[in-house]
Amino acid sequence: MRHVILVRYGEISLKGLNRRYFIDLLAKNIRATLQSLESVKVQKIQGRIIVHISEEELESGLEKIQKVFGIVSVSPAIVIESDFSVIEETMLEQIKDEKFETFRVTAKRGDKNFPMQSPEIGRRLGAAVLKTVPDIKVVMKNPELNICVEVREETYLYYKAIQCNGGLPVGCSGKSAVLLSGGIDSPVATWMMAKRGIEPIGVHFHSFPFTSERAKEKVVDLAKIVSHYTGHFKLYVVPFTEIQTKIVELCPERQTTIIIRRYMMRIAEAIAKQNGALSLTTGESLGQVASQTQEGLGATNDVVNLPVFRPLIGMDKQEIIRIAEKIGTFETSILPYEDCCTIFVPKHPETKPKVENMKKSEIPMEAVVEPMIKKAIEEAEIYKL
Amino acid sequence: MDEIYLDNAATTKPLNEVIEVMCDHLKTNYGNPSSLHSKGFKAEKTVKSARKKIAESIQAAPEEIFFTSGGSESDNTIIRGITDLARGKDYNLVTTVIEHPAILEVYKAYETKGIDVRYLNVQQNGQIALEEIKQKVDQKTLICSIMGVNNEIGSVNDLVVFGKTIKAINPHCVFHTDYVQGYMKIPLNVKQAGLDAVTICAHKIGGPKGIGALYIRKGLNVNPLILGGGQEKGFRSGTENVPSIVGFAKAVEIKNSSINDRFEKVLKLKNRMTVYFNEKGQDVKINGKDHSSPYILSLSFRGIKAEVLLHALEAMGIYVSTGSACSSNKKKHQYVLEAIGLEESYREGTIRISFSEDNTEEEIDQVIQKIEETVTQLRLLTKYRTKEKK
Repeated sequence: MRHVILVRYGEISLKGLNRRYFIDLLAKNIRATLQSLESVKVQKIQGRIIVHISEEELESGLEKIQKVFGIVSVSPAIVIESDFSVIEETMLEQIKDEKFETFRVTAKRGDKNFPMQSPEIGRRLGAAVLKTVPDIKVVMKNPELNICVEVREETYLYYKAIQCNGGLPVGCSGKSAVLLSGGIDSPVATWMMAKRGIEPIGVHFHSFPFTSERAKEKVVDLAKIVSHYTGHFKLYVVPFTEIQTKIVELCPERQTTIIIRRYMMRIAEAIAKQNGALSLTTGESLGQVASQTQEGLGATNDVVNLPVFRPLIGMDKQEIIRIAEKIGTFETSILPYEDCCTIFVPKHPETKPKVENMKKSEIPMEAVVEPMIKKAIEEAEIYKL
Repeated sequence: MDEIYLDNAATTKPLNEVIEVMCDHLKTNYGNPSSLHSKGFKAEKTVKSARKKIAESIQAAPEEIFFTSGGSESDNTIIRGITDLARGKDYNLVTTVIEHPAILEVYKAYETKGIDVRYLNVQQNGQIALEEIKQKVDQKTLICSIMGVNNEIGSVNDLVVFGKTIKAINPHCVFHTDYVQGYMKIPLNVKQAGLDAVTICAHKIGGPKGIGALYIRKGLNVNPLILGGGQEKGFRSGTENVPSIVGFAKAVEIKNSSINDRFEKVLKLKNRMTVYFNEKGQDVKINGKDHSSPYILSLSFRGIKAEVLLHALEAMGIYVSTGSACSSNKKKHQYVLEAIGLEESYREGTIRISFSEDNTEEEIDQVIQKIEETVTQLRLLTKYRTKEKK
């Protein structure tokens, strides 16, 4: 008896001629996610991916694989000899601790040499269950226990399907540079883009001493959590103090928040281009704070050419928090360290900034900022998580 | 970059002698004092001699010293150990509004259970007025905890006078002090102060972390917090932390002979700083100015975020603290500064500088200069205009 995880993918099998590319990528991502487990072997078969795994590593493997995007559901299964009496015996042994009142047997015969046809396998196994377990009945729709038997060269036996996140395999949509602040929103935005196949390149702005080493460590921790879904994660920590203080020094107080963001976008775009990323991603949600009004977003959008994705734009804070809790970033996000968004906040920030005014306000910066930006990018710390 | 460590109220650098003696004991004297064989006996003798040394340092008897994991455990033990023995509900507990959370939170927990807990208010200089004690301590007071030296602003309470006052009102009231910031810095004679219980710990005096002690006056009945194998005469179960106990005693041995010299030296350092900020500082307040420990200086700069100042100094190798280390990342925990009536605009700009005798005058001058520069720079950046001229 061996253990496997059956992996089902939905959407990606619809992708026509690119199908093989998607499946290969998914298999590669699964291998990368499970690489710390010794017993794992990933096999592609018709319509499925099968992960061979030892009993000891099964639980840990199941937990990890559920985070891989592109998977619709997984089932822990056991593989046995395709011999009816072995199948019957093993099945009864497997279900003996399960509590259920209704059940069905779903049998599939892939090996046409097997002496019974699918309906007969189902009937005979069902009868065996009824005989052994008291007070249960067979129902075809929504049974509490669905015993699945797939008879191929060997036979797969399973009765659980764990729903996963779906989406597309990370990497199939290319890269995007994600602005990570360390708050609740940006890790969620990253996760949502990764779900659509984006490989994120994280960009964090570090303004020591206005933000602390702990605040930086927090962003690294968040990136690490998200990397469990994305496989790997390249994170740039950009030293931003010099530029930020220059902005505060030279620009009108009411506009500093937006101007700071405009320079962050410019730097993120430069890093995106360095890494072959085709877009930027932010955690902005319309109206959440003063800088996230339509005017505010327009003013920050104005300085970049790459498309800017804002997957949280129509979401309420509570909805975002729910996802953050689900993906495990919430607890880390709410640790109380200063980040660049909370310091230097003007008393009355501009909520309806006009692009023209911003451009005017940035004029004093133009003489000094270019070498500063170059230096900031050159001196960025790069983490490969 | 040379580092200038000015966060000695949070913890101190362990003394070399402490590290050495601890390593020796970890390597060779690893026996369990409860074991019957000679290795156990040797460890037991080690603990015994350490206990004697620590007892002598506060004029107590060895059997009055109980080892714990540190200040927080000692505080919890005495307050719970006295209160949990009380029958009925006809009693009250007394403490001050500026205690360390290890005390305050315990009393608050009893308060939520419906017990009458009375809080002594402080004056602007951070001291408790005798009048407060006379008003709040009465015949039914079970225990009264008053800290010797406040950890955030360094204000010192006169425990001898307080002890006499409390005992005159109610001779049965247990008088407890958290002396963590005063121990080996300002001499304390527990008998003279009429103290029934004293909390001390090792890592504020060059000893290791994770070891402390509770002095309990002979004859006082205290309920143990941790039950088990019956170590520390059944008062505190758990295998004795022999290496740390040895390290603790070593630190005490070294520090005990130099209390007065160190006091004078550190006082000079603190004065150097206070004189400067008094004369030249703009919009800066010195908290707990009179009657405060020379080891702690609390400075409040208006228009500054203390955390930013702290990190800016850190970048120059200067280590200070905001408020107290234990609560400094909880923003709303500024109750001590609030209690002494400091306005909010000053509170959020408060740093704590805590000295040791290893600091030098040159270091202090350098720090004064760096603070001055950084504060000016930060105020410029936040477009702060000084409002008060001194």
